[in-house]
Amino acid sequence: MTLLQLLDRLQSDPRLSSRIAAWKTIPARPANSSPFPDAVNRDLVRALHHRGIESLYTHQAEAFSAVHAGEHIVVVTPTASGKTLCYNLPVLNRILEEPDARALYLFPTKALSADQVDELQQLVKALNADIKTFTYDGDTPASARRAIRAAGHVVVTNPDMLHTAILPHHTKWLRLFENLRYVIIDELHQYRGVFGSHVANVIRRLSRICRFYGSDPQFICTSATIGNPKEHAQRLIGRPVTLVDRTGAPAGEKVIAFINPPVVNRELGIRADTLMEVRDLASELIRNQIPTITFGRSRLAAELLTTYLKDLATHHGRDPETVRGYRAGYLPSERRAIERGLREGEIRAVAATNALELGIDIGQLSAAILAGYPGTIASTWQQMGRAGRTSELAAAFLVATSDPLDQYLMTHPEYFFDQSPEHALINPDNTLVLTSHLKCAVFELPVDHDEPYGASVQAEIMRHLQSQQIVHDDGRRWHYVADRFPAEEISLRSASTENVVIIDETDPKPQVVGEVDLASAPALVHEHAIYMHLSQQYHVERLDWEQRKAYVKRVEVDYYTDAEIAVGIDVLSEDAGARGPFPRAHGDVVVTYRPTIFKKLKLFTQENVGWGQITLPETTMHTTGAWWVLPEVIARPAGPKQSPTWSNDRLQGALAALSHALHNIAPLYLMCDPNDLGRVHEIRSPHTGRPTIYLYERAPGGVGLAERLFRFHDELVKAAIDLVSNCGCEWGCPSCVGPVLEVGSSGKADCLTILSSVIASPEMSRPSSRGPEGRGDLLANEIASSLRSSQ
Amino acid sequence: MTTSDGFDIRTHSWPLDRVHGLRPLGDALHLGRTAGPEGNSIAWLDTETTGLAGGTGTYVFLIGIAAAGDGCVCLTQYFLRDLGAEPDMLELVGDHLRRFDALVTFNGTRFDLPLLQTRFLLCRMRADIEAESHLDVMNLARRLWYRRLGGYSMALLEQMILKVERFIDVPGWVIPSLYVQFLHTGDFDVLEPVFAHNAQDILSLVALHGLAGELLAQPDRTPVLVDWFGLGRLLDVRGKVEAAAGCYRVALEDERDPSVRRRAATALARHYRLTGQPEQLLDLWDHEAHTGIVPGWLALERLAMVWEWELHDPRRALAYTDHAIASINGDGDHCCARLLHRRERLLRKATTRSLRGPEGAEAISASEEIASLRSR
Repeated sequence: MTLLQLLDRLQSDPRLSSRIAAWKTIPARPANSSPFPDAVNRDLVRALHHRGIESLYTHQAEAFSAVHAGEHIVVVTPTASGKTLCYNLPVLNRILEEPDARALYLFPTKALSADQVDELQQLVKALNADIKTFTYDGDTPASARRAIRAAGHVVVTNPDMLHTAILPHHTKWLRLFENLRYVIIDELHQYRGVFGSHVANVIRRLSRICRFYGSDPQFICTSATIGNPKEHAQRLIGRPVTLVDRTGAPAGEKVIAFINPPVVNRELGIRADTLMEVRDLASELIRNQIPTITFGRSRLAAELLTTYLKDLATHHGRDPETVRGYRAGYLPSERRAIERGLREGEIRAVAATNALELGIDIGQLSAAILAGYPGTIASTWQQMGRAGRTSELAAAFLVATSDPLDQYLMTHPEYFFDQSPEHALINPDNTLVLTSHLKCAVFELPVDHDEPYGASVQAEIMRHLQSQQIVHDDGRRWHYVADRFPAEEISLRSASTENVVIIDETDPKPQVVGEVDLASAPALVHEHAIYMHLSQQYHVERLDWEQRKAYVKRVEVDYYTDAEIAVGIDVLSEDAGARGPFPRAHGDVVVTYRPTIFKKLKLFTQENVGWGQITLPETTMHTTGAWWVLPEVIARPAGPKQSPTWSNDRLQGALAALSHALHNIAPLYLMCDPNDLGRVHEIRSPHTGRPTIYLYERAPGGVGLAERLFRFHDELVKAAIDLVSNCGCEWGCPSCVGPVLEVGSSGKADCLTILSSVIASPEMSRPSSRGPEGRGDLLANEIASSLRSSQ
Repeated sequence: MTTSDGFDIRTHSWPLDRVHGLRPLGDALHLGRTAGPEGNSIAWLDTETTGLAGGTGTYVFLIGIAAAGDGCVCLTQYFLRDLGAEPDMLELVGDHLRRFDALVTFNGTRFDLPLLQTRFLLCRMRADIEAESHLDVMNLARRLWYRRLGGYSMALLEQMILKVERFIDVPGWVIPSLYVQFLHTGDFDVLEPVFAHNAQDILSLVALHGLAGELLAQPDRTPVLVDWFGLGRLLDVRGKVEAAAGCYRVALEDERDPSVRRRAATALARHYRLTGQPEQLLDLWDHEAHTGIVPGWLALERLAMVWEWELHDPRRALAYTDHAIASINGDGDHCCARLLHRRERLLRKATTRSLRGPEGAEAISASEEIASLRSR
């Protein structure tokens, strides 16, 4: 059966078609080619012919011409539309004409850079020219580093290495910086939120160094589809950018279908299990050897799907080795082998997590099945983009879970198809981020009093650093005089890089089979967990938390384990507070993740066959948070004439709704990613003694978002009212106060009541009673706390 | 002292008969030549910096350069009073250094020279200071004293080897903060100990350089305790093989560390082999086999090697090999495999040789038969 026949059956069989919540056909798009521009070196054209490239797609030609004209560009085109050629072509062309020219390639992850270097090197080989490309990252041996610094035409690295290893030692990279012509920033959309704000500052530092050596490189960026590629690129690199987004690459017809599993328990509103639906959907694809990828939202889902798909392959008489799993935690060599297998067609189906969402080259597949909504419109399109052939039909399925957000999409598919993808937001001028990078910048080169850094040098920040004896002012310039190496104290990604190693002790010689990051470890490798790796089950015999090691043995059981984690919050200190109608404060908090129990669930049926306690220390994270106490007038009515006190359930719903609304709107004001914040609410907070909602920073130590939340309180409340009252839903939806299942039928109305009562209060505009006074004080506090957390 | 805009130049001289460490400075200058570096005119250099981590944000605020003068050792100290004056000062430092064609430092390879190079580049001056003829005395000190003292910092060497005492001194790690304090307050007094520290470092550098030269020139008359194996290695590298062999012999008199003893014996054996002294080789390894510090099987294996390759007697070699195999206890599989491999080869050689006697051609084909039987 072909994919077309499969799709027909899906639509015509009433049992199956009843599950279709949306069905959209995207027509085929013909190739739009363009001859090589005249400026392309003839040798390069010959080499491309040799690699089977006879002409360019229009977007590639457009990119080349814009770069040739001296513009900075951002290229936004779908997966596998040949976007690497958009930068390789101008770079190689320039090096052929100017053998001393240099280019710097920045990739957010190592896996990506390995792929792209490979492609570049193939082209260089076909070109038969003396062009050296090197990867410079943590794995580069010390002996090779000197050669790379002196002789690499193309240096491939990541922002972290640029930040800690290259810029602080720029004199060793003299040849690179003197001759730097192009900076390539691939996967631009990855640089958002805290990470993006840091990277924007790394690029400001890079630009300073280039100015010092007399070079002025052009930036060539590529991005997946996001709402604001041009604006985002301009903000990230601090320069005007030309947008190249009309793809010339051909695409076959593509069907996008939303599948909603049937309701199996009407009373409880429970739907059939998503993974089982995915399994049924994949069955015919596997039987007919149609190249398929499934995406699970968690590692567990990916591993379960791997098991199910392998089982299907065996059932249909296919080799189960043609089905593989793919997720973070597999060793790099395993991942490379799987990627190669997919490209070369030996592997026909893969069950992945979003680890495969990035631009990793696995060739093109015919079908993609998403087990649950990935969380953002942008990443949904990216995962669906994995299915797409240049000429043949492809299909992408989104199979809903019972989660409110998924159900919302099933009933409002237009929300997905009409809404533009999310905007990538960064704030390079975040005081804390800026302070960190000014320290690094002044370490790299003295900063002139009137030197522009980003918008301008913040003299206030420099004076603060001076009072800390980190910099010295000679009257004209600031010089770094502290004894410490600043870049090493500043992590671009904030998150910890610690992990737990998984050691298989089944055989006499123990073997490392994988790793999980520290934060996920309590849920995945607690004692008696069934850990799945490459669809082999392992029983966790013991978890040595101190040594960060989990000892496992291979087993074959018919169940898996699922851990529950409770999130709690404690206030350590209050940095500032304000009474007013909506009492609020911000300060240091400790967020506690406590694994409680795990359930043993039977494979295939999900039947609960047992449970156990997880005895692990809580993991705690020290960060900053902002919190709001429910206005007294609502929570505890003043007199008998007022409405009666809300029931706990109602209060719970109102708090959930309020925290959801503030969390929804906060990123817009903080210029951060929604994932940079977490939320908790308590009916009776031990700290305030009242119903309280908290928003806390997910980055350890915080980056100042909480303090901004506190400071932008008035705007935040107004925007939240707008958001909630303008939302077309009746009882609440994920776009405003959260789904009705979470907030209850009164949640939305109660949330609005609370917010409106705040805004109606005459105290709203009055200065807060004991809030911070001037901006100078705030800044000093902010900087002081950043210094504390970096020590 | 001369003061320009933003930086000071201080000079100081010590008479040649001033004793620092074991010898007068004049002797040290002379003796040091044996240790290097190549070149006609030498400068001794030491710097004080705003940090120890390196990188572009570390300033060199004090540069001490010493040289042999007319009847004295002359020290010039360039002090950066104002960070903005760095280019002007470095220009004079560059001119000063160009008067010499060789440098002597303590840890200059990893610290002072790359840092100075970076400062020159940052001040837009093309200097190739790292390519100059250069001797890093720390490399010599590590070989000569690390195992004896458990370290080779300048402070330790002054205390244990040179036997000089510092009366007023600041520990090196405090120096960056004193300079920052000076920048902050303008109080010059806090820096006086830093100037003294730098001068003392340079004096000790000259003395250590002299002492290293003396040890290399006259290894049989060492005035201080020394790691004989390390001295032997230094002499070996410089082509003084006889003197090196002498040092290894002394080292073996009382060396108790198995791995160092093994390396010393191996180095000495190499010397005997290259100079064609098989009897000495046999004595050496025989002695090692009986001393019992180096593993017995290893000494026996070396004896087997001598018999096989130097004295061409596979039967004796085979006997030692068997002996070696018998005395292995828990020393790892690869040694055992190596010995078994040797045994196989020696067995073949031994039979070939015995069969290739007066019996002639017939016997040879018989030995081939044996060999081919074995290989099955």
